[in-house]
Amino acid sequence: MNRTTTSVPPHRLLLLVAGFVIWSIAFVVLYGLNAIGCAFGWPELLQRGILLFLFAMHSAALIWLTFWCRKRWKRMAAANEPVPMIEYVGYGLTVAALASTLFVLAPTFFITMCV
Amino acid sequence: MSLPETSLPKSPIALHKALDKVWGSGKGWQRFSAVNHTVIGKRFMVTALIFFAIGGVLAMLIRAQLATSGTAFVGPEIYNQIFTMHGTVMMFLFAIPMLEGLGIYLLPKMLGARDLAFPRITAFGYWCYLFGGTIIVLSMVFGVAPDSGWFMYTPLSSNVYTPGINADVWLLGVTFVEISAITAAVEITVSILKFRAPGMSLNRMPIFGWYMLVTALMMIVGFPPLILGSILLEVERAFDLPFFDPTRGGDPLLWQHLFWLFGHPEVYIIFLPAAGALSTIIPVFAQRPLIGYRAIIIAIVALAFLSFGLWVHHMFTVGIPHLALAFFSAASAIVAIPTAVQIFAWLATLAHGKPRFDVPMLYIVGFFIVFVLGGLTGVMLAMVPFNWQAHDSYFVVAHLHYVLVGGFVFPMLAAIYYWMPHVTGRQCVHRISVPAFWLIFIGFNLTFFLMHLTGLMGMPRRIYTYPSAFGWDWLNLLSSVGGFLLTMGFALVATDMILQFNFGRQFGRNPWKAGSLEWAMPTKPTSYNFASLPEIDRRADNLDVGRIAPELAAGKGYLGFVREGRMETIGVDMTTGKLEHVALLPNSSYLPLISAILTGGAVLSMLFSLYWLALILAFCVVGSFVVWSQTNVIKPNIGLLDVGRGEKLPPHTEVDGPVSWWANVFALLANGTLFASLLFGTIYNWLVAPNWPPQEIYTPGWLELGATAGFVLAGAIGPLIVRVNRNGGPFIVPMAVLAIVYLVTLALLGIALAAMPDPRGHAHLATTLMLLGYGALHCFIGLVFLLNAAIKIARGYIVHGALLELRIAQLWHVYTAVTGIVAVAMVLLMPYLIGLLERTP
Ligand code: HEM
Ligand SMILES: [Cu+2]
Repeated sequence: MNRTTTSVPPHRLLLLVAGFVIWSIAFVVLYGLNAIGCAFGWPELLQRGILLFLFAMHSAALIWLTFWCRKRWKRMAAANEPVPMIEYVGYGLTVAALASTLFVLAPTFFITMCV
Repeated sequence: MSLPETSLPKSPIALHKALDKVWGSGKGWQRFSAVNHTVIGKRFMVTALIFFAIGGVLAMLIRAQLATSGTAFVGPEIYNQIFTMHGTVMMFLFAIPMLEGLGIYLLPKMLGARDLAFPRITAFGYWCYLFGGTIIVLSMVFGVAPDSGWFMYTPLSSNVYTPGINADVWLLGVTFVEISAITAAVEITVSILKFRAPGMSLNRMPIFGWYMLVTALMMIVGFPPLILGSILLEVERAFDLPFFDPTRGGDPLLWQHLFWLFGHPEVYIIFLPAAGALSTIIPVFAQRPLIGYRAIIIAIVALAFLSFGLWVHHMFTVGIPHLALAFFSAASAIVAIPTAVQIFAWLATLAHGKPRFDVPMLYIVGFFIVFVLGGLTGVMLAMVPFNWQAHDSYFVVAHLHYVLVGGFVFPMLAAIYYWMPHVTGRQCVHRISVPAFWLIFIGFNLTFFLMHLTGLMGMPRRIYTYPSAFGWDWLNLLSSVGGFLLTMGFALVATDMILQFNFGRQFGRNPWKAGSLEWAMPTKPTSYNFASLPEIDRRADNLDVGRIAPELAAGKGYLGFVREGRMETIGVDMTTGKLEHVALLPNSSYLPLISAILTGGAVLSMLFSLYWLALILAFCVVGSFVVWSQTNVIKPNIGLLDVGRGEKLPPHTEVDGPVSWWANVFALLANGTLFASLLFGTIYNWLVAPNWPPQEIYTPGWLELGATAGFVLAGAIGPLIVRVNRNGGPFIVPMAVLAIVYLVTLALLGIALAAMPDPRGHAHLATTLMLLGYGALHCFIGLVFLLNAAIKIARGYIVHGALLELRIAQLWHVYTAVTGIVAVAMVLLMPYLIGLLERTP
């Protein structure tokens, strides 16, 4: 049982959702652009290029966030501070969001774009 | 400890009497004024169970009709009403209100508070639910029940194909109930975040609290798309504005998107509270703490998000770009993982504990078997090629009942058996509980397992009869037999409940040896829950209830007294659970009932196309809310209040983030989702719907630019009012200016709307009308906020330094500014976007 004496400001709760908010944005952006690209008849290669680029950008953001969480974690561990549960859960959720992004959007590499 | 002398009671009994006098709800007619969460929570659950019985009767009618081929029991028109009503009643009038009721009843007790954040809102939500549900169910009696399926697809549900009021009943009734669900969700969210026992930091919160928090947040984001869809469809039906009509630039698929954007998260909204009950009950019977508390929190937050990325799996067959299909298919598969995490956590808890058997455990075992089967067929259906085969067949009916009954009804039965003693103060007499379980379990599997087979043999769902040539006969007959066994099981459970209520064995405290706070109070519960509030120093699932309870009853915790006849509970810091403020709650009131009657009147007027009456009643509703706000007002500048144990805290009106402020933040989040859905609809029709570009294009001009300026000003002046008040300046001046800004903006938008070409011509014009109308409505409500504050100033409640009301209004003004600017920008952008359409192939 960790006795939290350190105060955890409410905005820290945003850590719980940060990773999956990026996932949501990536999802909506790729889904939306796919729809637009198909409606306007963008060439397949162009569309795939754009989507892959955006896929990479969002994944990169999530990877960065993962490392950021890890660093905070390490710092607290080094200072022998108890790691607040929010940090622990936030880290786990960021990793989960990264995995979900990679898995769900991976079809961008190989599936036919339009109907 | 310096307590007000007069209010210091002498004994636990005296304390009980003093508290009950303040917190109790009246008898007789006064019952209509009750706002207490225990009372309302019970009402919610009992009403939900009555609707469950109605839905069950409808299910029996379906099974009677389908028992044999070629039955002439009911014809197709009635059959359509029956299955639509069955689905609608079960989903909207049973499942959601049941989980709300459970949360409303349990949460304050588990978290160590005396009530929820807004007792009057709880009551208002209940009345809205009751009236909305009654309207929907009564329509059956008059033979005009909704009949386009529980998801109301257009164009079937549009005016052309459903000319009567059947579809309007659904759209208006369900929206009414949904709005009540959102108010409950906002209330539950802030109550969990702010009304906990001192010391209960988030990492000490009982796991059920986490589940309900995630569920409530999902409701806040998940329901608005459906509410928007219903508004648009109702407007289309009533005023012929074409949002979904493909001949005029609308698209029926837009409805499907909006519906399932709500509909899939809905499934998890139903499942999560049930899972929360399981996570609470399983450790008690395993006699060890829950394994994987943190992993479960990670899993359910992930689940909440992922469940918003699946909606298109209900639309795999409508013709969507392949890549998008792959995204949704992948997301549908991955969503199984968080569910699996929970299942393994429960199994591990059982495996490492010393499981003890009792009736709730029977249902938990039943849950495991049924739900896992439903999950497996779910993953099958998530695969696009299989889905194309099984779509709209009885395989889907089997799957959805395995998930819903397995994931909700079985856990709820476990929960009912587990918490019934808490409600009644009596324990169950086992004799008929066990046979009831077996009837339900066997009956369920007999009914629904066979539907997988009829589905794979090609039987479509929603058919009122079938020829005997396909070999479906005996499977259907057995299925119907199973259905009747199932019903007998439910009837036995109901009997069991009534018996327990009247003849159950009375018990001391904490019959299941649980470790959560709801058992550290008298059972049945008192009106005020705890005679004094505990200090929590560990995870609140593993408390020593036997030690805590007598101390609290003796008034040794916080607030173990009555002050000036007021209802008081403690508000804590959101994350750490440190003492923050004293919340002063409003007493019993008839206002919630009155407002709900007015709202119901508005809904009925719309149903019968009496739009002027509806408008007048809507104004009355707004007026009634102003009256709410003007009653039970708390005097400014109270200063610190003694809470016992040597601590003093300010009242909620004098801190930065009391529940009312947070509630407005979350209500605006819901509103924002509604607005985002409207933008989505605008863009969707532009991109996908046929018959674009429109013949007549709305060309915005200086009116829109003026309105934009108005919104920008509102965004600037809103915060200014607060700043001037804080600095001791004449804050009434910026308020007056803002009122003028709103009036001018409203006028500009009004002129623009009045001068626009007939919006019935094309979806482009119809959505333009909606966007500008949205901005105008927000200006109007902004004016109401100003008016309300002005009255309070006149009555001496808002003085310098009393910022709360103004800060809450500020949220509204800023929100209005942002959405107003975006809405107008969208309208300005539209002609350009339409120009782009020439480039589509
Ligand atoms: C009490 C036992 C139940 C039985 C025997 C039963 C039976 C059925 C049957 C046979 C159908 C298919 C009707 C058709 O397609 O023609 C159906 C549809 C449905 N059921 Fe149930 N059901 C039961 C409980 C539930 C529960 C507890 C829920 C939800 C919590 C539920 C939700 C639904 C929904 C959403 C539909 C789809 C309605 C539609 O197609 O519009 N059912 N039910
Ligand atoms: Cu779904």
